[in-house]
Amino acid sequence: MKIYKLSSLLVCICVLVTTKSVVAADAYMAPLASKSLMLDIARVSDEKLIAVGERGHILTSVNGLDWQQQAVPTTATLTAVYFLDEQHGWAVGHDATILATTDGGISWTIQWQNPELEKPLMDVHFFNLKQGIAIGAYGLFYRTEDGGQNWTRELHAEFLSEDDQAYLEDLKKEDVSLYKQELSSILPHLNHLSDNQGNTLYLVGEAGLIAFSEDEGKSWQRLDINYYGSFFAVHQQASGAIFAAGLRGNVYRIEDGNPVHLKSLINSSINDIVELDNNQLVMVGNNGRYLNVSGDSITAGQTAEGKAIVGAVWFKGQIVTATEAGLQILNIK
Amino acid sequence: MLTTKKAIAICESAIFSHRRLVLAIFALLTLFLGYQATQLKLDASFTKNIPLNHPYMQTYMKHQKDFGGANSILVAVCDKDSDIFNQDFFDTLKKVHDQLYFIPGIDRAQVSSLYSPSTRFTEVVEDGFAGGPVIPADFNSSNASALEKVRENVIKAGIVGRMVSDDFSCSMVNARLLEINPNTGEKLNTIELAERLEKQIRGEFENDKISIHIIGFAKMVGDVANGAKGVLLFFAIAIAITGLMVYLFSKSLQKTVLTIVCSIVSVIWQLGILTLLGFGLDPMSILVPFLIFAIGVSHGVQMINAVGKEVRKGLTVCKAAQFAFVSLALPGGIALLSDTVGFLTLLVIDIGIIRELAITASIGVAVIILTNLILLPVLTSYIRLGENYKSRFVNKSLTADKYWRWMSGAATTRNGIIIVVVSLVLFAFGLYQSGKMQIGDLENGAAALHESSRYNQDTFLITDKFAITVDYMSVLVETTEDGCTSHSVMQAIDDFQWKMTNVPGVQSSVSLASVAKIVNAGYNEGNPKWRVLPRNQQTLVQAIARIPTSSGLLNGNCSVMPVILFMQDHKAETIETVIAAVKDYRQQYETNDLKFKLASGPVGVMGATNEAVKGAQNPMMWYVFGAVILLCLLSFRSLRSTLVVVLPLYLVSVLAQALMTYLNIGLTVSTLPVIALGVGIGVDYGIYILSTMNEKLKQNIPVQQAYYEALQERGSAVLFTGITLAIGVSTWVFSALKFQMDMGILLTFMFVVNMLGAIIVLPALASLFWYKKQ
Repeated sequence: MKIYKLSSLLVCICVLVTTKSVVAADAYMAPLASKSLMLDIARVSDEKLIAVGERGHILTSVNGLDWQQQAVPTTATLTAVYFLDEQHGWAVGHDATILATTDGGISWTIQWQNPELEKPLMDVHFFNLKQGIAIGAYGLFYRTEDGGQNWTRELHAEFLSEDDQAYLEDLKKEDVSLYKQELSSILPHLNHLSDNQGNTLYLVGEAGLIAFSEDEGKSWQRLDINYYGSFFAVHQQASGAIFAAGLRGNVYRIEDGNPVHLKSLINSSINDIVELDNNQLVMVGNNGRYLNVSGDSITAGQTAEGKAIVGAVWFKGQIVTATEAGLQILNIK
Repeated sequence: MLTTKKAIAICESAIFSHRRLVLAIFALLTLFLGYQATQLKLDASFTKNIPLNHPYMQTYMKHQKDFGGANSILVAVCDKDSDIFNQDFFDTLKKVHDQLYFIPGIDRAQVSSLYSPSTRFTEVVEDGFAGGPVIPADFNSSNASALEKVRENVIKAGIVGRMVSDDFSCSMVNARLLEINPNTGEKLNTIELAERLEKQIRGEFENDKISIHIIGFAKMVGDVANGAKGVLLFFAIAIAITGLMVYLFSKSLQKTVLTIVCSIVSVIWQLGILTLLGFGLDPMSILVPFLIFAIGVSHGVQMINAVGKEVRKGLTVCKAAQFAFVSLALPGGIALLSDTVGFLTLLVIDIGIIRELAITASIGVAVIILTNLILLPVLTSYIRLGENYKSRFVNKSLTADKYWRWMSGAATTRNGIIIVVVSLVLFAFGLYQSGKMQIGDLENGAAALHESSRYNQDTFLITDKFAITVDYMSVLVETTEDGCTSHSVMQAIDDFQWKMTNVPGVQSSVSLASVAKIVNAGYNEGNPKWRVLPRNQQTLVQAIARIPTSSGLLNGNCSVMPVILFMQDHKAETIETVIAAVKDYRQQYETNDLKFKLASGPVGVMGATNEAVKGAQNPMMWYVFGAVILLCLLSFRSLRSTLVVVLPLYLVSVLAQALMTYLNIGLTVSTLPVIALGVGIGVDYGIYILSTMNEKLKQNIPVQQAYYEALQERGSAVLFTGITLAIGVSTWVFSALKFQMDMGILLTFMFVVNMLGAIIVLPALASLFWYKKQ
């Protein structure tokens, strides 16, 4: 295992202005919301699901079949949702939008939004009621220490490859402002955070990025990997096994800190990984394709409609998915 | 009136002292027009069926060049046994594509199928996009792995539901039609095109294994024209039945033949004049010659009835004919003139095909004035009616007299009040029902054809197997040049489209904005989380640059972008809901530089037609009744007489609308003229009866007696006319064409009930209006 320890972990902290430039109107309450492009789904509790998607759609359900759209003060497309407990949750998305709820997803407020940035947030994670991080495209990285009242932007050079980091170190010695400019432009897309089991948090992203942090995201270590495609999903199993998956169906299992490529059965991108009972994993992806991973056996399948599946959760003995054609139960053969 | 009488007398002596000359002129004209009539062509065009001056159609015409308008043809090629991925199917599909390409009238640039080079797939790989034509250049249909490759490409290209059916059993070839041939400048011959489609596409390629399903306006018109050919049979049947009826009525073979001949002459003249004026006969108005024949016969019967009555009184046939001419010239002339004016009022409706109908029908009726009011009496004056003829009527007139006596009871005050009260109740009921009358097509498929017709079955199959149909409407977004590179414009289009997609009746939708979002995700490794409209202009341009203008989603400088709404059906109610939603939602997004214009696409055209028909309904009624009232005022010089004739007519037209509600017949381009035709012709009965009654009333004869004498003189002819007309049009109920069936039912109703109105409600009203003359 080769981990790059960096002398300077945290590079730039820019305290952001607290005025929020809110985009347009409230989300339109649409009869077809539950059949539109949905991008993430999460469990609020054992009895409640929440899903987010395009046009500021947030929907809740108690059975995974019937969905109620909730009022949301933005029409920005939402890419991820995270619930810390039954009441407290956050949703992030395009226009660098961060929304929060304190009533289990019924009402939402905008904590942060900045359309001019032209960068979307892709995932959000909270360690407790106060501390959380949000990640996104072009290395976008926000942190809050006060439950989301203030969000601070960070630039993490650790997400870059060894060569790029060396190049930037050289640049930093010559010209600090040029270094910052270059760093913010070459950082990879940060796509997905694992629900951390224990103390280690995993993050995956563009250009073969798999990184982990043991200090609540303050410093990151990138895994060495001979692959430059994007990862869209990472999952830590209760048993401790870690899987990362992404472009064209590529799946890696992290064994002793080393990513090992598993035999690829599909060539559609994998967008999410869901753990069922008995350590069984299901990886869902574009064109309705999915992988069924149980121990060492992997099988592949495809839904009849062939629509992209973007997110999935295990809920009341069923896999409930967020797809490009809305919220659906996935029946695995 | 004196001057009119003088004028008629002058005509009488002029005509009857030069009978041979008159006959010679008629014979020559008939020969000439008969020759012209043989040159008559069936003529149909798409633009004739639409209200060209309606604002939606202005938008449609304005952008027709860029987006091909609404006149398209869909050819679904289906494998009956398996999915499409076999050699036989792909070979056939290629032949269909190539064959269609060479059919005149097809816009070659716009023929699309799996075989078009523009049908491409793109996929995302580690180093960017990969893609190519769905059917590669080196495709070999006998190679199983090549077919398997095409199957994969079809899925990657995202054309399932559009070019390949959801169950992979059919594939679509899509073509647009050119209204004007760009090389020759000739108008599209829709009927010929439809025949070619039937012969060269379906005829050649449909077999045990492959079925071909063709839909689109041109094909529909072709099928209507085919169905319309059956009209000749109906025409023959109608002539036979009518001839028999006339014989039973007149009891004279000579008179029967003359009446029928004169009516046929009027049809010949009408068709000849149409050709002379440069018109063709549209399949949609192929029923008009029928109507002319029936009207001709009904007026002819009045004429021979009058001649017969005079002969039985002892006049010579020649004198009787002269007398009949004098007594019928005025009421007959007025009646036919009001028919003509009634038809002419249809000209106010701004739809080509209805105007043609108006012209065709009014020419026909005007011709009847000549053939049946002049030619018929002149011809009749030559025939001989012996004692044998007179004796046939002796017993009959006695039974008829008893009957007329009983009928005249309607003109007593007591019965009059009862009849008027019943009529008022009927009127109230009719008014309530007619308020619920629907506009437009109420059924799925083409309303002109029966549900079981091949065309409608094909429509149902395509609607069932594909996500697209010909039932779509385009809302044209007009903005400034390069408008598509502005995030705010594209966002507005996308938001508008989403709200429209949520409107009940809209099945799915597509626009440049919705496709650009998918392309943007493609540029981001196919990650659905990037399926947004990029705020960054360069990124937005990059996404749009991959969408060609041939997609029909943008014009050359992207200042116009349609939002295409695929609809569940084209029922009037659905169209109305969707159009109302467009008008509502667009207000939120329109600016000076951004307009959402209604509408193109077949359903947009239907929406405009429905609005035009709805808008024309009331003015048409006002005009036709205005004309009838004016003519009655002129001939009777009495408001009272006019009301007595017009009120029953109005009652019947309201009841006809109620019948439409009851029979689920919508008000469409083909049913709209029916009420005007019905009123125009229906007024005849009232005029014939009241003109006689009026004379008697002026002589201070009591109402009931006056009505009795009117019945004696005209009653049998009126009854006969109503029945003849009704029989003539009721044969249409068996037509292969649904719209002819609807028209047949409605006209039969109008003719019969108008006749009943004239012999029941008219005398009842008269008994109240001339209360003092009881």
